[in-house]
Amino acid sequence: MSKLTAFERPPKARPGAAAPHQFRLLGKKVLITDEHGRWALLTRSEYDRFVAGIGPEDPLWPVLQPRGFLAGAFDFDAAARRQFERSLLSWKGPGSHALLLDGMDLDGARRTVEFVFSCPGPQLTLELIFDDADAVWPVVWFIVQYARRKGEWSRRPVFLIARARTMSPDQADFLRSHGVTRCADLALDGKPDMSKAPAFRAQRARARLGPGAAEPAAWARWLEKWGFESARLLPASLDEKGAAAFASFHSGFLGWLLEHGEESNLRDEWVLGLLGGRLWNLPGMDVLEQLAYDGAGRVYTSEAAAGDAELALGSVSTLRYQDLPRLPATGAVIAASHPDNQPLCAQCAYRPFCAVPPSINKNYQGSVWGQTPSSAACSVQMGIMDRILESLNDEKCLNLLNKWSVDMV
Amino acid sequence: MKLKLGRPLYSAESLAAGALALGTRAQVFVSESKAAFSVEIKPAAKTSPAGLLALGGEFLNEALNHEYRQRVVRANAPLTQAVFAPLFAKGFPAVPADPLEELEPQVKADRARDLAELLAQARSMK
Repeated sequence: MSKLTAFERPPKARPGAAAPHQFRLLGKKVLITDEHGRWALLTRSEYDRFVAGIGPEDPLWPVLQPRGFLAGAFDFDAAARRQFERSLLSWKGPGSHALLLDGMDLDGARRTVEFVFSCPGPQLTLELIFDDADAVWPVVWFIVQYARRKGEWSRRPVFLIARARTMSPDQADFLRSHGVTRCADLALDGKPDMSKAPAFRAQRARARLGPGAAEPAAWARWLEKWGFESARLLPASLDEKGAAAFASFHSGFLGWLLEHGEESNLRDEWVLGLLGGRLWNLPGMDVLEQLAYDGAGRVYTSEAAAGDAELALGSVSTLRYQDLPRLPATGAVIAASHPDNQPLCAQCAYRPFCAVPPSINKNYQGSVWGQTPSSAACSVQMGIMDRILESLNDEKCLNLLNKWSVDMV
Repeated sequence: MKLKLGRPLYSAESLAAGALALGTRAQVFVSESKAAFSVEIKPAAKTSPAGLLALGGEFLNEALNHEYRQRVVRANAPLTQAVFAPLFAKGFPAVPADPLEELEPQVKADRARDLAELLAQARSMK
Protein backbone atom coordinates (compact mmCIF):
# COMPACT_ATOMS: atom_id res chain seq x y z
CA MET A 1 0.00 0.00 0.00
CA SER A 2 1.42 3.36 -0.98
CA LYS A 3 1.80 6.14 1.52
CA LEU A 4 1.37 8.62 -1.31
CA THR A 5 -2.07 9.96 -2.14
CA ALA A 6 -3.92 9.85 -5.45
CA PHE A 7 -6.94 11.58 -6.95
CA GLU A 8 -10.00 9.43 -7.46
CA ARG A 9 -10.69 11.50 -10.55
CA PRO A 10 -7.40 12.85 -11.89
CA PRO A 11 -7.63 16.49 -12.98
CA LYS A 12 -7.33 17.44 -16.63
CA ALA A 13 -3.88 18.91 -16.97
CA ARG A 14 -2.70 21.08 -19.84
CA PRO A 15 0.93 20.31 -20.66
CA GLY A 16 3.14 23.32 -19.99
CA ALA A 17 0.73 25.00 -17.57
CA ALA A 18 2.00 23.92 -14.15
CA ALA A 19 5.68 23.89 -13.27
CA PRO A 20 7.07 20.61 -11.87
CA HIS A 21 5.64 19.95 -8.45
CA GLN A 22 4.51 17.16 -6.13
CA PHE A 23 1.05 17.03 -4.61
CA ARG A 24 -0.50 15.46 -1.54
CA LEU A 25 -4.16 15.28 -0.60
CA LEU A 26 -4.67 16.51 2.95
CA GLY A 27 -8.35 16.16 3.80
CA LYS A 28 -10.18 18.35 1.31
CA LYS A 29 -7.05 20.34 0.49
CA VAL A 30 -4.31 19.69 -2.04
CA LEU A 31 -0.82 20.54 -0.86
CA ILE A 32 1.66 21.29 -3.62
CA THR A 33 5.39 21.65 -3.11
CA ASP A 34 8.30 22.18 -5.41
CA GLU A 35 11.73 20.68 -4.92
CA HIS A 36 12.98 23.80 -3.18
CA GLY A 37 10.37 23.66 -0.40
CA ARG A 38 7.97 26.26 -1.74
CA TRP A 39 4.38 25.28 -1.12
CA ALA A 40 0.72 26.19 -1.57
CA LEU A 41 -2.40 24.69 -0.05
CA LEU A 42 -5.22 24.66 -2.59
CA THR A 43 -8.79 23.52 -2.74
CA ARG A 44 -9.55 20.77 -5.23
CA SER A 45 -11.17 23.20 -7.67
CA GLU A 46 -8.19 25.57 -7.37
CA TYR A 47 -5.83 22.67 -8.11
CA ASP A 48 -7.89 21.66 -11.16
CA ARG A 49 -7.71 25.27 -12.42
CA PHE A 50 -3.98 25.44 -11.72
CA VAL A 51 -3.07 22.34 -13.74
CA ALA A 52 -5.49 23.28 -16.52
CA GLY A 53 -3.66 26.60 -16.88
CA ILE A 54 -4.36 30.03 -15.41
CA GLY A 55 -3.70 33.55 -16.65
CA PRO A 56 -2.66 36.72 -14.81
CA GLU A 57 -6.35 37.64 -14.28
CA ASP A 58 -6.90 34.55 -12.11
CA PRO A 59 -6.83 35.19 -8.32
CA LEU A 60 -4.46 32.21 -7.99
CA TRP A 61 -1.86 33.86 -10.21
CA PRO A 62 -0.40 36.21 -7.53
CA VAL A 63 -0.27 33.27 -5.10
CA LEU A 64 1.40 30.74 -7.39
CA GLN A 65 3.51 32.87 -9.72
CA PRO A 66 5.95 34.24 -7.09
CA ARG A 67 6.33 30.73 -5.67
CA GLY A 68 7.45 29.36 -9.01
CA PHE A 69 4.52 27.04 -9.73
CA LEU A 70 3.59 28.43 -13.15
CA ALA A 71 5.60 27.04 -16.03
CA GLY A 72 5.01 30.04 -18.24
CA ALA A 73 6.27 32.50 -15.64
CA PHE A 74 9.07 30.42 -14.14
CA ASP A 75 12.04 32.32 -12.73
CA PHE A 76 14.99 30.09 -13.65
CA ASP A 77 17.56 32.30 -11.92
CA ALA A 78 15.66 32.22 -8.63
CA ALA A 79 15.21 28.44 -8.94
CA ALA A 80 18.95 27.98 -9.55
CA ARG A 81 19.76 30.12 -6.51
CA ARG A 82 17.39 28.16 -4.32
CA GLN A 83 18.70 24.86 -5.64
CA PHE A 84 22.23 25.89 -4.72
CA GLU A 85 21.25 27.15 -1.26
CA ARG A 86 19.16 24.14 -0.29
CA SER A 87 20.97 21.25 -1.93
CA LEU A 88 24.16 19.54 -0.84
CA LEU A 89 26.01 21.94 -3.14
CA SER A 90 26.19 24.36 -0.21
CA TRP A 91 26.83 21.79 2.49
CA LYS A 92 29.72 22.88 4.69
CA GLY A 93 30.21 19.83 6.91
CA PRO A 94 28.42 18.08 9.76
CA GLY A 95 27.32 20.70 12.27
CA SER A 96 26.29 18.37 15.06
CA HIS A 97 28.57 16.03 17.01
CA ALA A 98 27.15 13.50 19.45
CA LEU A 99 29.65 12.53 22.14
CA LEU A 100 28.64 9.36 23.96
CA LEU A 101 30.53 9.86 27.19
CA ASP A 102 29.96 6.57 29.01
CA GLY A 103 33.38 4.88 29.12
CA MET A 104 35.26 7.90 27.74
CA ASP A 105 38.49 8.92 29.51
CA LEU A 106 40.08 12.35 29.50
CA ASP A 107 42.60 11.62 26.76
CA GLY A 108 39.81 10.23 24.60
CA ALA A 109 37.76 13.35 25.34
CA ARG A 110 40.67 15.60 24.27
CA ARG A 111 41.16 13.69 21.01
CA THR A 112 37.43 13.72 20.32
CA VAL A 113 37.14 17.49 20.82
CA GLU A 114 40.16 18.01 18.57
CA PHE A 115 38.60 15.83 15.86
CA VAL A 116 35.33 17.78 16.13
CA PHE A 117 37.17 21.06 15.67
CA SER A 118 38.93 19.72 12.57
CA CYS A 119 35.48 19.56 10.94
CA PRO A 120 34.59 22.66 8.94
CA GLY A 121 31.35 24.58 9.13
CA PRO A 122 30.39 27.99 10.35
CA GLN A 123 29.30 26.66 13.75
CA LEU A 124 29.60 23.49 15.76
CA THR A 125 27.23 21.80 18.16
CA LEU A 126 28.62 19.30 20.65
CA GLU A 127 25.99 17.20 22.37
CA LEU A 128 27.37 15.44 25.42
CA ILE A 129 25.28 12.34 26.05
CA PHE A 130 25.45 10.43 29.31
CA ASP A 131 23.22 8.69 31.78
CA ASP A 132 24.28 9.90 35.20
CA ALA A 133 26.46 13.02 35.45
CA ASP A 134 28.26 11.72 38.56
CA ALA A 135 29.75 8.83 36.58
CA VAL A 136 31.38 11.03 33.94
CA TRP A 137 31.64 14.46 35.55
CA PRO A 138 35.41 15.13 35.07
CA VAL A 139 34.98 14.33 31.36
CA VAL A 140 31.91 16.60 31.08
CA TRP A 141 33.74 19.40 32.92
CA PHE A 142 36.82 19.05 30.72
CA ILE A 143 34.92 18.96 27.40
CA VAL A 144 32.91 22.05 28.31
CA GLN A 145 36.06 24.00 29.21
CA TYR A 146 38.15 22.77 26.29
CA ALA A 147 35.41 23.18 23.67
CA ARG A 148 34.78 26.74 24.89
CA ARG A 149 38.49 27.55 24.49
CA LYS A 150 38.68 25.85 21.10
CA GLY A 151 35.67 27.89 20.00
CA GLU A 152 37.39 31.13 21.02
CA TRP A 153 40.65 30.12 19.38
CA SER A 154 38.99 29.13 16.12
CA ARG A 155 36.55 32.09 16.27
CA ARG A 156 33.60 29.80 15.60
CA PRO A 157 30.33 29.78 17.53
CA VAL A 158 30.09 26.62 19.61
CA PHE A 159 26.83 25.32 21.02
CA LEU A 160 27.05 22.84 23.85
CA ILE A 161 24.25 20.54 24.92
CA ALA A 162 24.35 18.14 27.88
CA ARG A 163 21.79 15.35 27.58
CA ALA A 164 21.33 13.19 30.65
CA ARG A 165 18.89 11.32 32.82
CA THR A 166 20.22 12.76 36.05
CA MET A 167 22.52 15.50 37.28
CA SER A 168 22.83 17.35 40.57
CA PRO A 169 21.78 21.00 40.99
CA ASP A 170 25.49 21.99 41.25
CA GLN A 171 26.28 20.22 38.00
CA ALA A 172 23.28 21.84 36.31
CA ASP A 173 24.45 25.23 37.63
CA PHE A 174 27.94 24.73 36.27
CA LEU A 175 26.53 23.84 32.85
CA ARG A 176 24.15 26.81 32.89
CA SER A 177 26.93 29.24 33.85
CA HIS A 178 29.02 27.94 30.92
CA GLY A 179 26.21 28.40 28.44
CA VAL A 180 25.47 24.69 28.09
CA THR A 181 21.91 23.81 27.15
CA ARG A 182 20.58 21.07 29.40
CA CYS A 183 18.48 18.37 27.80
CA ALA A 184 16.59 15.92 29.97
CA ASP A 185 16.16 12.34 28.78
CA LEU A 186 12.59 11.58 29.82
CA ALA A 187 10.20 8.67 29.61
CA LEU A 188 6.57 9.73 29.27
CA ASP A 189 4.06 7.11 30.28
CA GLY A 190 0.49 7.30 31.46
CA LYS A 191 -0.68 10.77 32.46
CA PRO A 192 1.63 13.41 33.92
CA ASP A 193 1.73 14.20 37.61
CA MET A 194 1.78 17.99 37.39
CA SER A 195 3.36 18.32 40.84
CA LYS A 196 6.27 15.98 40.04
CA ALA A 197 9.32 17.89 38.79
CA PRO A 198 11.79 16.41 36.29
CA ALA A 199 15.15 15.11 37.61
CA PHE A 200 16.80 18.47 36.88
CA ARG A 201 16.00 21.85 35.34
CA ALA A 202 16.52 21.68 31.60
CA GLN A 203 15.58 23.73 28.56
CA ARG A 204 15.13 20.79 26.24
CA ALA A 205 13.39 17.46 26.60
CA ARG A 206 14.02 14.28 24.68
CA ALA A 207 10.97 12.35 25.64
CA ARG A 208 10.42 8.71 24.74
CA LEU A 209 6.78 7.71 24.89
CA GLY A 210 5.93 4.68 26.94
CA PRO A 211 3.32 2.21 25.67
CA GLY A 212 0.70 3.79 27.92
CA ALA A 213 1.48 7.46 27.20
CA ALA A 214 -1.78 9.39 27.22
CA GLU A 215 -3.10 12.96 27.29
CA PRO A 216 -0.57 14.73 25.09
CA ALA A 217 -2.04 18.14 25.95
CA ALA A 218 -1.45 17.47 29.65
CA TRP A 219 2.13 16.43 28.92
CA ALA A 220 2.63 19.64 26.92
CA ARG A 221 1.35 21.61 29.95
CA TRP A 222 3.70 19.63 32.21
CA LEU A 223 6.70 20.42 29.99
CA GLU A 224 5.64 24.06 29.87
CA LYS A 225 5.18 24.23 33.64
CA TRP A 226 8.68 22.91 34.34
CA GLY A 227 10.34 25.42 32.04
CA PHE A 228 11.16 23.31 28.99
CA GLU A 229 11.56 25.41 25.84
CA SER A 230 11.51 22.58 23.34
CA ALA A 231 10.74 18.90 23.18
CA ARG A 232 11.52 16.05 20.83
CA LEU A 233 9.09 13.21 21.33
CA LEU A 234 10.18 9.73 20.34
CA PRO A 235 7.99 6.68 19.67
CA ALA A 236 8.00 3.80 22.13
CA SER A 237 8.96 1.49 19.27
CA LEU A 238 9.54 1.89 15.55
CA ASP A 239 6.99 -0.62 14.30
CA GLU A 240 3.52 -0.20 12.87
CA LYS A 241 1.87 -0.06 16.29
CA GLY A 242 4.49 2.30 17.76
CA ALA A 243 4.24 4.61 14.74
CA ALA A 244 0.44 4.78 14.94
CA ALA A 245 0.49 5.48 18.70
CA PHE A 246 3.15 8.11 18.21
CA ALA A 247 1.24 9.81 15.38
CA SER A 248 -1.84 10.11 17.53
CA PHE A 249 0.05 11.39 20.58
CA HIS A 250 2.20 13.81 18.59
CA SER A 251 -0.83 15.16 16.77
CA GLY A 252 -2.42 16.00 20.13
CA PHE A 253 0.83 17.55 21.32
CA LEU A 254 1.08 19.73 18.20
CA GLY A 255 -2.60 20.60 18.54
CA TRP A 256 -1.90 22.00 22.00
CA LEU A 257 1.08 23.97 20.70
CA LEU A 258 -0.99 25.39 17.84
CA GLU A 259 -3.72 26.37 20.28
CA HIS A 260 -1.41 27.90 22.89
CA GLY A 261 1.42 29.05 20.65
CA GLU A 262 0.99 32.72 21.48
CA GLU A 263 1.53 32.38 25.22
CA SER A 264 3.69 29.23 25.33
CA ASN A 265 7.46 29.13 24.86
CA LEU A 266 7.46 25.40 24.15
CA ARG A 267 8.57 24.35 20.67
CA ASP A 268 8.44 21.05 18.84
CA GLU A 269 11.88 19.93 17.69
CA TRP A 270 10.52 17.61 15.00
CA VAL A 271 8.81 20.51 13.27
CA LEU A 272 11.89 22.70 13.62
CA GLY A 273 14.12 19.98 12.15
CA LEU A 274 11.86 18.95 9.28
CA LEU A 275 10.78 22.41 8.19
CA GLY A 276 14.40 23.57 8.14
CA GLY A 277 14.17 22.20 4.61
CA ARG A 278 17.77 21.13 4.24
CA LEU A 279 19.00 17.57 4.29
CA TRP A 280 21.94 18.52 6.47
CA ASN A 281 19.65 20.13 9.06
CA LEU A 282 17.60 17.00 9.69
CA PRO A 283 18.52 15.80 13.19
CA GLY A 284 20.60 12.65 13.16
CA MET A 285 21.17 12.62 9.38
CA ASP A 286 24.27 10.48 9.00
CA VAL A 287 27.50 12.37 8.20
CA LEU A 288 25.61 15.28 6.62
CA GLU A 289 24.16 16.58 9.89
CA GLN A 290 25.84 14.47 12.53
CA LEU A 291 28.86 12.43 13.50
CA ALA A 292 29.00 10.43 16.72
CA TYR A 293 31.85 9.35 18.96
CA ASP A 294 31.75 6.61 21.56
CA GLY A 295 33.68 6.14 24.80
CA ALA A 296 36.34 4.05 23.06
CA GLY A 297 37.08 6.83 20.56
CA ARG A 298 35.29 5.25 17.61
CA VAL A 299 33.66 7.60 15.10
CA TYR A 300 30.25 6.67 13.67
CA THR A 301 28.06 8.14 10.97
CA SER A 302 25.49 9.21 13.60
CA GLU A 303 24.30 8.52 17.14
CA ALA A 304 21.87 5.88 15.87
CA ALA A 305 24.80 4.11 14.18
CA ALA A 306 26.86 3.83 17.38
CA GLY A 307 27.94 0.23 17.93
CA ASP A 308 27.35 -0.77 14.29
CA ALA A 309 30.69 -1.90 12.85
CA GLU A 310 29.49 -1.30 9.29
CA LEU A 311 28.80 2.35 10.05
CA ALA A 312 32.01 2.92 12.01
CA LEU A 313 34.33 5.37 10.27
CA GLY A 314 37.50 4.94 12.32
CA SER A 315 39.10 6.14 15.52
CA VAL A 316 39.55 9.74 16.66
CA SER A 317 43.25 8.90 17.14
CA THR A 318 43.90 8.08 13.50
CA LEU A 319 40.95 9.23 11.38
CA ARG A 320 41.21 12.57 9.62
CA TYR A 321 38.12 14.51 8.55
CA GLN A 322 39.43 14.71 4.98
CA ASP A 323 39.50 10.88 4.85
CA LEU A 324 35.73 10.59 5.23
CA PRO A 325 34.68 10.78 1.56
CA ARG A 326 36.95 7.84 0.73
CA LEU A 327 35.21 5.54 3.22
CA PRO A 328 32.52 3.21 1.83
CA ALA A 329 30.20 3.91 4.77
CA THR A 330 30.25 7.65 4.03
CA GLY A 331 29.30 7.17 0.39
CA ALA A 332 26.61 4.64 1.28
CA VAL A 333 24.85 6.80 3.87
CA ILE A 334 25.01 9.97 1.78
CA ALA A 335 23.62 8.19 -1.28
CA ALA A 336 20.93 6.47 0.78
CA SER A 337 19.90 9.67 2.56
CA HIS A 338 19.04 11.55 -0.62
CA PRO A 339 15.29 11.41 -1.26
CA ASP A 340 15.82 11.38 -5.02
CA ASN A 341 17.36 7.92 -4.60
CA GLN A 342 14.45 6.46 -2.62
CA PRO A 343 11.23 4.93 -3.95
CA LEU A 344 8.22 6.97 -2.71
CA CYS A 345 10.45 9.77 -1.40
CA ALA A 346 11.32 10.76 -4.97
CA GLN A 347 7.61 11.39 -5.66
CA CYS A 348 6.61 12.63 -2.22
CA ALA A 349 5.34 16.15 -1.55
CA TYR A 350 7.52 16.20 1.57
CA ARG A 351 10.71 15.43 -0.36
CA PRO A 352 12.13 18.95 0.18
CA PHE A 353 11.73 18.62 3.96
CA CYS A 354 12.08 15.05 4.99
CA ALA A 355 14.30 11.97 4.87
CA VAL A 356 14.88 9.05 7.19
CA PRO A 357 18.48 8.77 8.40
CA PRO A 358 20.10 5.68 6.83
CA SER A 359 21.30 4.46 10.25
CA ILE A 360 17.65 4.36 11.40
CA ASN A 361 16.80 2.37 8.27
CA LYS A 362 19.62 -0.02 9.08
CA ASN A 363 18.58 -0.43 12.71
CA TYR A 364 14.96 -1.20 11.90
CA GLN A 365 14.95 -2.58 8.34
CA GLY A 366 18.39 -4.11 7.94
CA SER A 367 19.96 -1.88 5.29
CA VAL A 368 20.88 1.80 4.96
CA TRP A 369 18.31 2.07 2.18
CA GLY A 370 15.47 0.60 4.16
CA GLN A 371 12.12 -0.03 2.50
CA THR A 372 10.13 3.17 2.41
CA PRO A 373 6.68 1.63 1.88
CA SER A 374 6.88 -0.34 5.13
CA SER A 375 9.13 2.04 7.10
CA ALA A 376 7.62 3.07 10.43
CA ALA A 377 10.17 5.90 10.65
CA CYS A 378 8.79 7.23 7.36
CA SER A 379 5.22 6.93 8.72
CA VAL A 380 6.19 8.88 11.84
CA GLN A 381 7.71 11.74 9.85
CA MET A 382 4.90 11.82 7.30
CA GLY A 383 2.37 11.98 10.13
CA ILE A 384 4.12 14.99 11.62
CA MET A 385 4.33 16.72 8.26
CA ASP A 386 0.64 15.99 7.53
CA ARG A 387 -0.38 17.49 10.86
CA ILE A 388 1.58 20.72 10.52
CA LEU A 389 1.21 21.32 6.78
CA GLU A 390 -2.56 20.78 6.71
CA SER A 391 -2.74 23.85 8.98
CA LEU A 392 -0.55 26.06 6.82
CA ASN A 393 -3.42 28.25 5.62
CA ASP A 394 -4.32 28.95 9.23
CA GLU A 395 -2.93 32.24 10.49
CA LYS A 396 -2.37 30.75 13.96
CA CYS A 397 -0.10 28.10 12.51
CA LEU A 398 1.86 30.56 10.39
CA ASN A 399 2.27 32.88 13.40
CA LEU A 400 3.55 29.98 15.46
CA LEU A 401 6.06 28.94 12.81
CA ASN A 402 7.10 32.56 12.50
CA LYS A 403 7.63 32.72 16.27
CA TRP A 404 9.77 29.57 16.01
CA SER A 405 11.80 31.28 13.23
CA VAL A 406 10.74 28.67 10.67
CA ASP A 407 10.98 30.20 7.22
CA MET A 408 7.98 28.85 5.32
CA VAL A 409 8.49 30.73 2.07
CA MET B 1 11.52 -23.08 -0.75
CA LYS B 2 11.83 -22.77 -4.51
CA LEU B 3 10.90 -19.71 -6.53
CA LYS B 4 10.92 -18.93 -10.22
CA LEU B 5 11.38 -15.25 -11.07
CA GLY B 6 11.03 -13.69 -14.51
CA ARG B 7 14.20 -12.03 -15.83
CA PRO B 8 12.76 -8.83 -17.23
CA LEU B 9 11.53 -7.88 -13.76
CA TYR B 10 14.33 -9.21 -11.55
CA SER B 11 18.05 -8.75 -12.09
CA ALA B 12 20.88 -10.78 -10.56
CA GLU B 13 21.75 -7.73 -8.38
CA SER B 14 18.26 -7.60 -6.93
CA LEU B 15 18.46 -11.30 -6.01
CA ALA B 16 21.82 -10.64 -4.34
CA ALA B 17 20.18 -7.80 -2.35
CA GLY B 18 17.40 -10.18 -1.30
CA ALA B 19 19.94 -12.77 -0.21
CA LEU B 20 21.87 -10.14 1.74
CA ALA B 21 18.70 -9.22 3.62
CA LEU B 22 18.39 -12.79 4.88
CA GLY B 23 21.98 -12.69 6.15
CA THR B 24 23.06 -15.83 7.99
CA ARG B 25 19.49 -17.01 8.49
CA ALA B 26 19.38 -18.80 5.16
CA GLN B 27 21.40 -19.91 2.17
CA VAL B 28 20.18 -18.75 -1.23
CA PHE B 29 20.99 -20.71 -4.38
CA VAL B 30 20.37 -19.18 -7.78
CA SER B 31 20.49 -20.67 -11.26
CA GLU B 32 19.43 -18.92 -14.41
CA SER B 33 17.98 -19.68 -17.81
CA LYS B 34 17.28 -17.24 -20.66
CA ALA B 35 13.85 -16.34 -19.35
CA ALA B 36 13.98 -16.78 -15.59
CA PHE B 37 15.94 -17.22 -12.40
CA SER B 38 15.36 -20.28 -10.23
CA VAL B 39 15.91 -19.51 -6.58
CA GLU B 40 16.13 -21.96 -3.71
CA ILE B 41 16.07 -20.67 -0.12
CA LYS B 42 17.44 -23.08 2.50
CA PRO B 43 17.01 -21.87 6.08
CA ALA B 44 20.08 -22.24 8.31
CA ALA B 45 18.02 -23.73 11.14
CA LYS B 46 14.91 -25.87 11.28
CA THR B 47 12.01 -23.59 10.36
CA SER B 48 8.23 -23.96 10.44
CA PRO B 49 6.29 -23.61 7.15
CA ALA B 50 5.15 -20.13 8.30
CA GLY B 51 8.75 -19.16 9.09
CA LEU B 52 9.86 -20.39 5.67
CA LEU B 53 7.12 -18.38 4.01
CA ALA B 54 8.21 -15.31 5.96
CA LEU B 55 11.83 -15.79 4.83
CA GLY B 56 10.68 -16.09 1.22
CA GLY B 57 8.54 -12.98 1.64
CA GLU B 58 11.43 -11.04 3.08
CA PHE B 59 13.67 -12.15 0.22
CA LEU B 60 11.12 -11.12 -2.41
CA ASN B 61 10.39 -7.81 -0.67
CA GLU B 62 14.02 -6.80 -0.64
CA ALA B 63 14.65 -8.06 -4.18
CA LEU B 64 11.70 -6.11 -5.54
CA ASN B 65 12.55 -3.05 -3.46
CA HIS B 66 16.12 -3.14 -4.73
CA GLU B 67 15.00 -3.48 -8.34
CA TYR B 68 12.58 -0.58 -8.07
CA ARG B 69 15.09 1.57 -6.17
CA GLN B 70 17.64 1.04 -8.94
CA ARG B 71 15.09 2.29 -11.44
CA VAL B 72 14.45 5.38 -9.30
CA VAL B 73 18.19 5.98 -8.92
CA ARG B 74 18.72 5.68 -12.68
CA ALA B 75 15.75 7.91 -13.49
CA ASN B 76 16.98 10.66 -11.15
CA ALA B 77 20.67 10.23 -11.90
CA PRO B 78 21.01 13.45 -13.92
CA LEU B 79 19.80 15.42 -10.88
CA THR B 80 21.62 13.55 -8.12
CA GLN B 81 24.88 13.29 -10.05
CA ALA B 82 24.92 17.06 -10.44
CA VAL B 83 24.87 17.31 -6.65
CA PHE B 84 26.99 14.32 -5.61
CA ALA B 85 29.76 14.71 -8.20
CA PRO B 86 30.97 18.14 -6.98
CA LEU B 87 30.47 17.10 -3.34
CA PHE B 88 32.82 14.14 -3.62
CA ALA B 89 35.11 15.76 -6.20
CA LYS B 90 36.07 18.58 -3.88
CA GLY B 91 36.45 16.14 -0.97
CA PHE B 92 35.82 17.14 2.62
CA PRO B 93 38.51 19.71 3.33
CA ALA B 94 39.37 19.87 7.03
CA VAL B 95 39.85 23.13 8.87
CA PRO B 96 43.37 24.40 8.14
CA ALA B 97 45.86 24.91 10.96
CA ASP B 98 45.27 28.10 12.94
CA PRO B 99 47.42 30.80 11.30
CA LEU B 100 47.93 32.49 14.67
CA GLU B 101 49.51 29.33 16.07
CA GLU B 102 51.61 28.98 12.93
CA LEU B 103 52.88 32.57 13.06
CA GLU B 104 53.32 32.90 16.83
CA PRO B 105 54.93 29.84 18.45
CA GLN B 106 54.18 31.43 21.83
CA VAL B 107 50.42 31.24 21.14
CA LYS B 108 50.74 27.53 20.45
CA ALA B 109 52.80 27.06 23.63
CA ASP B 110 50.31 29.06 25.74
CA ARG B 111 47.41 27.00 24.42
CA ALA B 112 49.24 23.74 25.07
CA ARG B 113 49.90 24.87 28.65
CA ASP B 114 46.27 25.86 29.06
CA LEU B 115 45.18 22.42 27.86
CA ALA B 116 47.62 20.65 30.20
CA GLU B 117 46.24 22.66 33.14
CA LEU B 118 42.67 21.77 32.20
CA LEU B 119 43.54 18.07 31.99
CA ALA B 120 45.35 18.20 35.34
CA GLN B 121 42.38 19.93 36.97
CA ALA B 122 39.96 17.38 35.50
CA ARG B 123 42.16 14.48 36.69
CA SER B 124 42.22 15.93 40.20
CA MET B 125 38.40 15.70 40.29
CA LYS B 126 38.49 11.91 40.32
